[in-house]
Amino acid sequence: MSPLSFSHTLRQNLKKDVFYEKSTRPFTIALAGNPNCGKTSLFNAITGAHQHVGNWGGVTVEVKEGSVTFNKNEIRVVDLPGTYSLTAFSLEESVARDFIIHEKPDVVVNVIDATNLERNLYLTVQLLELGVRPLLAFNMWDEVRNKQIEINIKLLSELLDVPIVTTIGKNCTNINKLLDTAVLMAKEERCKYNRQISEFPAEVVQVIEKLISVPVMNSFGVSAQWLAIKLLENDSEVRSAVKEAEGGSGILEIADSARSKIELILGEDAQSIIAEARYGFIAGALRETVRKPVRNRVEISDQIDSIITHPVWAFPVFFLFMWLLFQATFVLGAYPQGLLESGVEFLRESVLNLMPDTVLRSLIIDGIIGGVGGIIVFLPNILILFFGIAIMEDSGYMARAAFITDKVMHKVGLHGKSFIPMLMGMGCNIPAIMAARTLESETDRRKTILLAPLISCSARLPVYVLFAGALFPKHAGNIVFLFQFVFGTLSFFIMAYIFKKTLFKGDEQPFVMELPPYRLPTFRSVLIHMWQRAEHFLKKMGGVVLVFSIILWVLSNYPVNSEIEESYNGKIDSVRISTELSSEQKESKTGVLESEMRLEQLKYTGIGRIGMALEPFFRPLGFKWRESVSLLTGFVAKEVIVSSMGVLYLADDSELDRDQRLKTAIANHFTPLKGFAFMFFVLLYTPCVVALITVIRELKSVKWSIFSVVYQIALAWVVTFAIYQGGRLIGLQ
Amino acid sequence: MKKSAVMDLSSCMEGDLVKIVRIRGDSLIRKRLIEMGFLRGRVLKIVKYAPLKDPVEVEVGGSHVSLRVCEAAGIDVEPVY
Repeated sequence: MSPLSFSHTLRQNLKKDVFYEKSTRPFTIALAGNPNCGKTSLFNAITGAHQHVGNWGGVTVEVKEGSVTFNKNEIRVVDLPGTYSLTAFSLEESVARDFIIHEKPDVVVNVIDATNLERNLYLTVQLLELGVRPLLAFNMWDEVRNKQIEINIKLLSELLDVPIVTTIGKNCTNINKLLDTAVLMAKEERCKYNRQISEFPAEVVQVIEKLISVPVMNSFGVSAQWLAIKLLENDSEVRSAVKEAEGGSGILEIADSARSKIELILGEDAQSIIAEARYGFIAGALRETVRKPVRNRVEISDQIDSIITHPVWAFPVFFLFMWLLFQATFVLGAYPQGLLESGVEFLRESVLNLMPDTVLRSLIIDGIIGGVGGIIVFLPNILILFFGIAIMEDSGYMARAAFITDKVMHKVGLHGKSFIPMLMGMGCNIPAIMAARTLESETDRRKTILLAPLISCSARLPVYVLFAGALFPKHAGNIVFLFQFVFGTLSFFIMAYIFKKTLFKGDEQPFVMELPPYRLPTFRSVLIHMWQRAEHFLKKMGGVVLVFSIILWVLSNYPVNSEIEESYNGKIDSVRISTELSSEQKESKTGVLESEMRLEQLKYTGIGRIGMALEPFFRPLGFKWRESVSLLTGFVAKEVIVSSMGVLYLADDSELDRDQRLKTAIANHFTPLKGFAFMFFVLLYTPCVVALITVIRELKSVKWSIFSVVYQIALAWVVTFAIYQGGRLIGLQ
Repeated sequence: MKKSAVMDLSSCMEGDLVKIVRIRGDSLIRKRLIEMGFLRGRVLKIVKYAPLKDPVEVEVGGSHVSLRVCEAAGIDVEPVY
């Protein structure tokens, strides 16, 4: 095993055998390539539906795996993250490079956008430096023909000394030929590359040769030539790996002094010199093999862009698309959601009728069916949202959306692509948090995940409606609008700005982003994309949410004090058999008693006790134990606050005029100031348990998950405190 | 006054054709630019600025790339006539 120590998490995964043993999987093919080279569509073409997102603990970069049986060979296919290069500057590149170095896939298939050979072959050259002979898939071959680009494949293949297969990923052209070649290469072990490549200047070649001659350099299990180049490029991970080895510091000294010497002689930094040499090598090979027609017409992409990124029309078009996406996700999605809800309801009823009234029945109905039902109702939203996002990504629109919104988002330290999670959060935070996956850089993604829950989701609406209606009847509409759309968005931007200035200070990610040509997304690829998200959501969430809802169920039902029930039942019975009261009086009296009993029972349960114990925490905000308990029940889902307030504040449990009576009760228990403060707390604290778990799942870091919970509760507390106490100071009620 | 022709990319106009003289800026952005083909001597076309005047879209070696204006400011260019 090579002592090279690359990314830490990956090394741990290797130890834990997250990757399959080679013996059980005869062939492994890794797909490498630039972003937007059609790698994913080729991956889909090879594996079809037999794929899943690999579980790489601690790494938020998605790595998809699939399998295919080809000519009786079982082949495991790994889709590495799209990268332009194989340095260790970004997580994607680290993951791709570590996989190739440590996993040693039998064949690396380097997917190339054949309409843009020069830049795509830059990665190929780096693979060659690494000692890997890739199989080149010249993808998007149909576009090459349409653009009348002539490529002499045979000659280019000879010049580079690598096999080339032309492919069209979107309609599966030449997939068999590609696999055939890959299997052949693996069997004949023709996947090593030992030639000196690139046209490095003489000074660089000398240093490389000098470094290679040091014996230690050949003990790392990777190509010594590659190590030497990386040392000249000043690659941090290779440096630290070499430093740890015996005699490593001597090697670093040689490399460092050679680098400064080269930079002095050639008047440019080593990184540029090496990059230019690579591009020089590519240009040399392409000069003899590629002929492009003189471009004399405006390309279709430019024509589309003349509207999509137009100075005036860009935003109307963007908001139209966003409106459509939002409507489709939440309005159209409400129909299947309703069906699922009635399905869950039907299941509930069936269990209710079939089982005797026991604790087990209650557990199944409230804990299990309630919990799982609570998740699957989000499925339509997630399916539709990711269907839309897949179309936007595959067509090339996503990059344009980021292009036009980046200025605004960048002001608060975010990326243009953070816009979509922010907007979708107004429907539901859960798909919004998941939509943060479209961000490539881990820092940007983390920031977006942390901020998305601040956007007011539709589940918070019933609380606003209740409070605004009860306390500000004249301005209810405006107040609800402010909370639903304005305050949440404001806190999103303000917190983003605070994060930028504090926690993520100096953590600026480069925006440099390709604007790929517009392409028609294929239905198949969009469907696969959508299904992967849904599957991921169901699999990852199911178990945890189940456990959480059972815990919540236990807490809100136990312990039971049978004395309360007995004593109240006694009182109720005595009212019922009383001869002095009219039947109307009886009904109202038993209603009051039943409601008192529920309240006493709730106070006795775990959630009631925790809520009451938390009262001192809430007291500075003007909240008493009832508010404390209701906020606690809001963890289940924000709209639950309304129903638990029914139990907490209503003296009579009957359904008659319930909404109106609840409003009156709220008006009695809350001053306008206190109610306003309460609404702010509801807006800002952790949205619900499913959203919380989504955040944890997507952050994939214990530290950041804890931070996410703590900062939201702290923020809610501080803001509410400031509003309540500040309001009192200036004499508000 | 021929030497003063060198300017930074962020001061270019839409439709300008320029040649890269040097890339300054921090190593992460530099490296990303270099690997995407922003090399000394290459010709860049400033395609357009975003509606809010930031970022800017340029064409280099056949691909379209968008950069923030602050990133473009780190690229020294000279006009191509």
